[in-house]
Amino acid sequence: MSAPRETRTTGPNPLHGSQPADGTADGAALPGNAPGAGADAVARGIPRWRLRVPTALRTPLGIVGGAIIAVWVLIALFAPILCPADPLAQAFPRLQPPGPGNLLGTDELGRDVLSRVLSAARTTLPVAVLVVLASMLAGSILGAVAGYFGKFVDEVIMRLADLVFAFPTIILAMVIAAALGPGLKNAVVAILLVSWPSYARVARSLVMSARSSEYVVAGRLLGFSAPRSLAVDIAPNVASPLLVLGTLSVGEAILTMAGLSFLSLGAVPPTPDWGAMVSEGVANFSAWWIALFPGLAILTVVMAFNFIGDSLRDALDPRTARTVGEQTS
Amino acid sequence: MRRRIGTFGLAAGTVAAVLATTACGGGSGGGGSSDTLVAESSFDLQTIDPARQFEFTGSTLDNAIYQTALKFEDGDLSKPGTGLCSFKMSSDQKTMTLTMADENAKFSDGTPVSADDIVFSYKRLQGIGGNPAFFLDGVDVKKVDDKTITLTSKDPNPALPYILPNASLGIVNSKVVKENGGTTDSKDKAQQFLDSNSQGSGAYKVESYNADSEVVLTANEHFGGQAPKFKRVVLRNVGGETQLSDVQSGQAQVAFDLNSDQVKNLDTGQVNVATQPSTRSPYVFNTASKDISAVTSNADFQNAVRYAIDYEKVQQLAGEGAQPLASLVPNEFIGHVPKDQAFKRDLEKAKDYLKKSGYKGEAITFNYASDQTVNGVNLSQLAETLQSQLKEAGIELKLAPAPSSTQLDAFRSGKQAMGIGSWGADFPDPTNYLVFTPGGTVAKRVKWEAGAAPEVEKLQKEALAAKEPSDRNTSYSKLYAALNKQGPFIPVVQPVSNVAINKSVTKYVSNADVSFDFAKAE
Repeated sequence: MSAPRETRTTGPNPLHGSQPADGTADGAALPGNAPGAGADAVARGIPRWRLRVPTALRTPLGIVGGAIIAVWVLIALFAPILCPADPLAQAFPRLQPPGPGNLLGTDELGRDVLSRVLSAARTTLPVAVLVVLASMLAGSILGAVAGYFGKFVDEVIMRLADLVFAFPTIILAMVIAAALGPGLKNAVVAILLVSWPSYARVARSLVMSARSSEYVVAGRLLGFSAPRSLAVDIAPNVASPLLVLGTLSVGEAILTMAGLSFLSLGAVPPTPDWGAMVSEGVANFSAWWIALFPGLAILTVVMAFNFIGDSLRDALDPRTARTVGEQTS
Repeated sequence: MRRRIGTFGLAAGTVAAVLATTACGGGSGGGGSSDTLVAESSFDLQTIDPARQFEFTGSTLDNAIYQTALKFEDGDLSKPGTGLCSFKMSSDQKTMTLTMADENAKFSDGTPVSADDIVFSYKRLQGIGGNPAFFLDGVDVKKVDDKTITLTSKDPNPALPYILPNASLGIVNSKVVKENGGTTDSKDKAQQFLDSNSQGSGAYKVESYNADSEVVLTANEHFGGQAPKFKRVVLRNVGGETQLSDVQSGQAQVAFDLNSDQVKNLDTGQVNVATQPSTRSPYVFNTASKDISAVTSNADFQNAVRYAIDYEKVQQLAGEGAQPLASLVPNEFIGHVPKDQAFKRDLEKAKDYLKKSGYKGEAITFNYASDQTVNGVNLSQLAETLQSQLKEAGIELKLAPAPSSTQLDAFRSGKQAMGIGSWGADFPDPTNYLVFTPGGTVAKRVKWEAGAAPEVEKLQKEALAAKEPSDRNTSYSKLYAALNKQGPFIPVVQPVSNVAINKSVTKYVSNADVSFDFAKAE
């Protein structure tokens, strides 16, 4: 479903003004329209998107998720200062349990687990966000092209997507990563190759719905090219659901990366990596601290991104927002 | 990387442990009835057809099922002695004469073991041409009479007495095997039959066989030796951590695959541990080809690596009982180099050699099998440890992990500049390590071709010419000491092999030849 957005009143395309401005009518039933708030915002001449994000994050889940992510972002930024020891230095006795010397213990090579968990955030978080952005971009473009042009182009792109969907994600990622060789770069490529179809499918269905909208048809009648129509008329109105999907996928990307690292197909040692650390710990259950703390790090980050994704979805989908509102009022 | 000899490791002598039953032992726990022994291992099982099997699990089972013409006396791998046969080597070391010695030996159907069975078993091994066929390469097997067999080699073959005790040379019931598709050429079709209907004269026979999950053995009622106390043996395929909890709780009586850290955590009130030095030698390899790497092929660089490794720390990583390795030959084999001659860390020397080599700090790709563990030494951990140690000397390693099959193929292609390899002894004789001399199978993988080290090759000729055990010991020791100083291979540690045994087993035999003898457990 398409979602006419605030740009219709503020954007350069005068045709946008032809859409319902109060957020009601058919637009109210579409995700991305927040009835009432959006209308007020438009009435006050304030771009609606500036209010949406805070609204979305104003839920308890959103606040908790945002706070956790903020903490991890700060950890990633300041890891070199926060780490009590060099995460690569084999400077301590092996397999020391958590204690005053090493707060989270040491691993099988005598490295400080706390320092490694904190340092791994510098790898995991940016890479996960990068992977999601790249797959979102690639999947959305391909899906939009398929949905807009239809016919042969649609068939080719979507059958390709079906082909990727036919395999379990982690298995396909493993195969690709194994073929390319271990390493963070190759793991990113592997995850990118297996995750774009989700975005392509969503983008395709949204674009198919939007391309018959009056404002798109009007633009074509005025002679707008297909790329311009896609980029200017359609893209702003299909972006919200994709953004929600992307947020929810960050956690999934982290888990897939951890899975690949667990199988020695991700980050190359000695780079600290949460998945690889869990893998090391699994081989030594009695040294429970090796796997537990990176496992908790994965859990908190994935959970936080899911909280934010859920909150965004609730806020951007008016039906869900209404239901949530009724339940909480 | 190849299979270990016998079942597991190798030790100087037999460790026969006779233990009093303690309060914490008590019966066989959850592992089954009192006449059933449950053992656990991480399977690498392909088959238990002796002429085809070349893996650890297959050897463990075949040692219990089949008897061999010769066996090591009291598990001392330097003393091959009488098994089904006694033996005599000719003075030129080319002909071995086997004489039938065990009149009580009978197969599981009650048929006595004959010279024909021995000849058939050896010819079948050669004819099938499987992994263990190289044991009898170039050996002509002939029956002289009902009591005598000769094994004739073109060249002197003093290693033959050390080869015949291998489980792959187990003697099968020729009549029954022939009736079920067994031949002495590549058309042999008896593998499937032998997997579920073993035809040996050992203490046990197969009751059920599942290569993925479990193999059950029952006592061979016609066994010529002392009947085993445990009438059934169940060998289950279980991971290391589960083995740890099972052997402590009594769900299993024997656990074969615990690493040193797991062994440390065992409850000694519940479990005994039999530790044997490993026959597997992990080593660092460098290419000898300037085309592949001008850096790692440089002798000064190789010496820098030799002196940069902190061997003591590597031993700690390998666990209690790990030893220095002064050559690729394990410390218990004849022809080994005494461990006090092993290299020791000297960072100053390492830096001097590095300076002489002209190394400019470029990162060197360091290849290893990330999923491989050599008797408790995880190669990923070893690689990270070496990376850290070499960095202290100024050598930058860029780790390149790969699955073991990929790494093995890449190593065999001969295009890798540096990395970790490991060699498991096929038989306890120094000739098994000639593959590392110039032009040898493994040496070729690092482009160390014949003629590359004249001194080493001269010593090799002298060693091959030696006949008497003491001469062989001395000459091979000289050869491998020279190899260690001049060659592109750097042995790093001799690991240990651990077998954990629940105290409900009050008597067991664990030695160099058989790390746990099912038939002698009580």
